[in-house]
Amino acid sequence: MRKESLKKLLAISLTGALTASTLLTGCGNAPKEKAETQDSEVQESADAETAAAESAAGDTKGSGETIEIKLSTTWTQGSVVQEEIENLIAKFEEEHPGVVIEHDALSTADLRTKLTVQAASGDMPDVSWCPQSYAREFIKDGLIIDWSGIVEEDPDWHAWFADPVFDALTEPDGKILLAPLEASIDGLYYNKAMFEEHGWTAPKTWDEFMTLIPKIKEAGITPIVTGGKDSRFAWMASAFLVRATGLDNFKSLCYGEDMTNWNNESTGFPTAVAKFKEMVDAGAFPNGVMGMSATEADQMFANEEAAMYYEGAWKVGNFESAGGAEFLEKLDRLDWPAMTDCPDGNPDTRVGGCFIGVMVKAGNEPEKEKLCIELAKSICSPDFGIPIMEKGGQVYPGVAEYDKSTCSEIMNKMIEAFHSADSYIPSMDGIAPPAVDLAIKQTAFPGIITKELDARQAVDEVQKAAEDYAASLEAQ
Amino acid sequence: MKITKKSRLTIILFILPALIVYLMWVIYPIISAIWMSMQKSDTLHSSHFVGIENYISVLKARLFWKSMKISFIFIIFTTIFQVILGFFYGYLVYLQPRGYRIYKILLFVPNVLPSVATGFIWSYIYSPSMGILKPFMEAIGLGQYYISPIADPKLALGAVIFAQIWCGLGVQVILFNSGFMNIPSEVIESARLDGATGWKMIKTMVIPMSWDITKMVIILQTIGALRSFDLIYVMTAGGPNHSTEVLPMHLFVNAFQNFNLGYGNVIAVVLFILAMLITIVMRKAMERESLYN
Repeated sequence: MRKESLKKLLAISLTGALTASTLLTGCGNAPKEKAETQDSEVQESADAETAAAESAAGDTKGSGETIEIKLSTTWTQGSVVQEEIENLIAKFEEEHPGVVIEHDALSTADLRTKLTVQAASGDMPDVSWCPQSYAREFIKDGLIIDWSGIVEEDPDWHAWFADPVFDALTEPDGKILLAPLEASIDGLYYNKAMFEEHGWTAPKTWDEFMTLIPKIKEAGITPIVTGGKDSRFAWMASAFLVRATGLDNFKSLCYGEDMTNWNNESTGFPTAVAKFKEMVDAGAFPNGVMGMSATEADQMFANEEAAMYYEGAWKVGNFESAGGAEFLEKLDRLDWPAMTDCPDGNPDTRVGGCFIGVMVKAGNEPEKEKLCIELAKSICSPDFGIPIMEKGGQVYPGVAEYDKSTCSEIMNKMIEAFHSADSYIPSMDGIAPPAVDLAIKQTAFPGIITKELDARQAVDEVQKAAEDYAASLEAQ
Repeated sequence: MKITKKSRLTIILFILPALIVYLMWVIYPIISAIWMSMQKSDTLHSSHFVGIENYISVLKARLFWKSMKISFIFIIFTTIFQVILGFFYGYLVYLQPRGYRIYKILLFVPNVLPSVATGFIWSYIYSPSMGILKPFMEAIGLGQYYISPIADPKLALGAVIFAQIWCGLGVQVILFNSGFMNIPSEVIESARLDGATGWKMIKTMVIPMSWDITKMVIILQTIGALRSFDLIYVMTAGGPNHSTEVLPMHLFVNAFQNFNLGYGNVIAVVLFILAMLITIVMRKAMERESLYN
C-alpha cells in the first residue's frame, strides 16, 4: 500500500515536472530575459561611469552586453552586392565590439512578404531594405523611425543626397520614411547591334514602336520580352500610364482625388490599358510569356532571341550574368516611347527615382537605435554605394562622383538618365496601393496577354480593387 | 477500474501536459484565426471588430469563387489519379515482379524531394528557354508551336496537377503496398484455388480487404491537396491570371501581398471548415468494414 502511494507520488511529481517544463519551454524567454535584465541592471550600476563614457564615444566596447542587430537585405548569395555587404558588416562589427549583426538575405519578393508578416506581428528587423510603399504602411503603426530629425541634425549626411531624393521619400506630413539606398531609372533596352544589322530605327514615339513590331517579327525575332510569370509589369504599367495621362493624373489616381476613378476616361488609365492591349495584339511578346520567369526572359534577351527589354537599371547586372560583358556592349537605352496622341501624357518623365531605402525599427533602446541608424547610414553612404554602382549593381542615389571607366557603357547611360531626368514617377508597386498594383500586374495585364480579358474588363478589375481599397480607408 | 477522486487527480495530471500543448498549438490558433477573420485591418498592426463583414466581402469576391473552383478541380484530379495510379503500382509491386525493389525506390524518389525543388524541376522542364520539352518538340519539327503549359491559363492547372501527382505518387504506392502485404496470404491462396485471378482477384479480394487503407489514402490525399501551396507558389505563383490560384494561394496573396489580413483569415477559416466537412462526408460515404458487411 505504502509502495503504491510512493509510486503515485513519484508519478505526480514527474507529471508536475513535465507540465512545468512544457510551460517554461513555451515562455522560456521571459524569465531568462528578466533575469538578464536584473543582472544587467546590477552590472550597469556598477559600471555606470565607464558605460557613460563609452556611450558618449558611441562605442559599446566593455559594456559587457552584446547588442544584436537584425539586418534584412535583398543581397543574396551571388548578387553583386553580397560581398560588399558582408565586408561592411565585418567592418561595422570590428569598429563596434559587442555588436553582432545577423544578416538575413532574401529575394525582393520574399523579403516583401517577410516584412509584411513581421509588421503584422510587430516584430520588425532592426534595419532593413524597404520599398517606399511598404514604409508608408509601417510608419502608420509607428513601427519604423522618421528620418526627418536625423536629416536635420546631420547636414553632412544630408549633403550626400540631392533634395529631390529626400523629397521623393517625404510624406505630406513631413516624415521621411527611409534613408535613400537605391535609385533606379527605367530603360527600354534594345540590342543596338541587332538593330543596326537589320536597319531598324530605335523607336522614340508610340507610332514608331508599333510600326517596328511587325518588322522585328518578320525577322523571326521576338520584339520585347519580360518575366510574365513573375508579374514583371509594374514598371511597364507606370510607363504606359505616365505617357497616356501625365504626372498629375497619375499621382491623383494613386493617392489623390481620383483614387476611385481608374475606369474614368479622363484619368487616362483606360487609354493606357488600351495601348497595352494594342501592343499585345501586335504580337510584341513571345508566345508563352506568362510562363516565363524574369531569369528566362533575361536569357532570351541575352541569346538575341528578343530585340527589346523594358525595366529598371538593375537589369544591367542581370544581363551581364546572362550574356556576359560582351553582350552589354551591344545594348543601348531609350526612354519609353512618347504617345503623341495623348495630349495629357508626359513624354519626358522617367519611371524610377529613389523609392527603395533603408528602414530602422522604432522602439529599440536608444543605444541600439543609435547603432542601427549608424549602420543604415553606412549602407546608404557613398563609400558603400559607389563601388557597387561601379560594378553595375545599382544606381547610387547620392551626388558623389564615380569612376565611369569601371562601368559598362550601358550602365553609364542609365546613371546619366537618372541624373538628367526632368521628373520621375515610381514604378506601380512603389506608388499605387498594393491592392491596385496587384490588380494591374497580376490580373489586368496578364488577363490581356492571355486574352481572357478585354481592355474594358481589365480596367474594371483595377477599378474594383481601387474601390475596395478606398472603402477600407474610409473604415479606418 | 474504479475511478476514485484521488485517481481522477492523477489522470488529470497525466493528461495536462499534452492538453496544454494541444490547447496552445491547435485550439488557440483556430480560435485566433476565427477572431482575426472578424477584424478589419486599419493598418498592418491595428484592427477593429467588424463581425461578418469580411465573410461577406469574401463571398462576394469573384476571385474567391474562382479559387474555390480551382481548388476542387485540383483536389479531384490529384486524388483520382494518385489513388488509381497508387493502387495500380502498389499492386504491381505487391506481385513482386523481377526487380520490384528498384521500382519501389524509383517510384518513391520524387517524394523525398521537397515540393519547392519539385516545383523548380517542373518549371525548368516546361521552360521554353531552358527546358527539355521544347527541344523535344523542335526535334520532331513542332518547336514553333511550343508554349510552356504553365503560360497558358487553359493548360497551367493541368501542368501543376501533373507535377503534384508525380511528386506525391510514391507515398500512395507505399501505403497501398503495405495494405496489400497485410492481407493474409492464406486468403489469397484460397481465392486463387477457387479460381480468382487477375481482375476478379482484385475486385473480389484485394479491394475489399484493403478498404481501410484505401479510405485512409483518399482522405489524406484530399486534405493534402486542399492545403497545397508550395509547389504551386514556385511553379506559377497562382498565375497566369489566377488560373492556378488555389485557396491557400488566394489566402497568401490577400493576406501578405495585399495587406488584407482579415480577408486572409476568412479563407483560413473556410479551409478549416472545408477540411472538416470533406473528412466527415468521406468517412460517412466510405463507412463499411469490408465488402462483406
